[in-house]
Amino acid sequence: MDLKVLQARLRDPDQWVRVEALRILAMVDEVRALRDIEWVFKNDPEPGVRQVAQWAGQIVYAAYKQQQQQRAAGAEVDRQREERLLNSLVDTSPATYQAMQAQLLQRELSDALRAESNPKTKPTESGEFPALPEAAALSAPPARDTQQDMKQVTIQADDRPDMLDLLDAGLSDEFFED
Amino acid sequence: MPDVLEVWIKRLRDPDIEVRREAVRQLEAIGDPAALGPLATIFALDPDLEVRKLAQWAGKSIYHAIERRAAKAQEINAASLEERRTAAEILKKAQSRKPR
Repeated sequence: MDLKVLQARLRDPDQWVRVEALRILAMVDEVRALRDIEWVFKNDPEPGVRQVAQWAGQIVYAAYKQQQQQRAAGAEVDRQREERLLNSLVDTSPATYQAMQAQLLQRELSDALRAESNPKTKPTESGEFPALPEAAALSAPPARDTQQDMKQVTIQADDRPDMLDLLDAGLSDEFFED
Repeated sequence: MPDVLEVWIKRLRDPDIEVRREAVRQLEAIGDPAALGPLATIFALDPDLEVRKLAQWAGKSIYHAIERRAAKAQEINAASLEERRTAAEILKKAQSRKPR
């Protein structure tokens, strides 16, 4: 007995079938049937059925309002969590955020310089780019010390800390709290 | 031998409140959608508030279980339809490669 069956029963010739369908919809707080219940309240030939429809409509409408409030509250919780994450990246450890920005800029610059200086990366006359050269092996990331203070992080060209390590170091415990 | 479902539905009209409560719990455990109508009547008309709340809990439990089963059946149908299409394509390719 699903929603479609119950909706069909609201138009059954037997008034007791219609009453039972209304009661079931009210019992299970079926908000998707609100319009159907309203239709019965306005159009049913039996006054007793219209009365039951009014009662059922009030219950289902209250459930609908509660659902709306819960959704709004849930969206607010998500928004606050997102804000806490951003704050933890920027405010708590501005050095980590700045280091990430610096690393990004540096990579973009070196990529741009490499592209300019390497004739192999320039497009051929046919307009097609040649195959990319093999990527150079990355230097091993520095050993992680989780208790180390990350306030001073120096980025050098030959020593590139792993981006994920920087991100992990910058996240505060607050983010992982429920 | 009377149907178990019928026995518990009949007990929903018992004058003893504990018997009605137990009947509601048993109907929820059985999970038959045929119990939704009688439970809805209890929800609407029982003189005891706790019994009405219990009937609503049982009714929702049965109703949502029905919905989950229907959704699962739909998923399985969609998956098996996809599998049949894939099998048909493979057969078609195999037939086209057969030496004549």
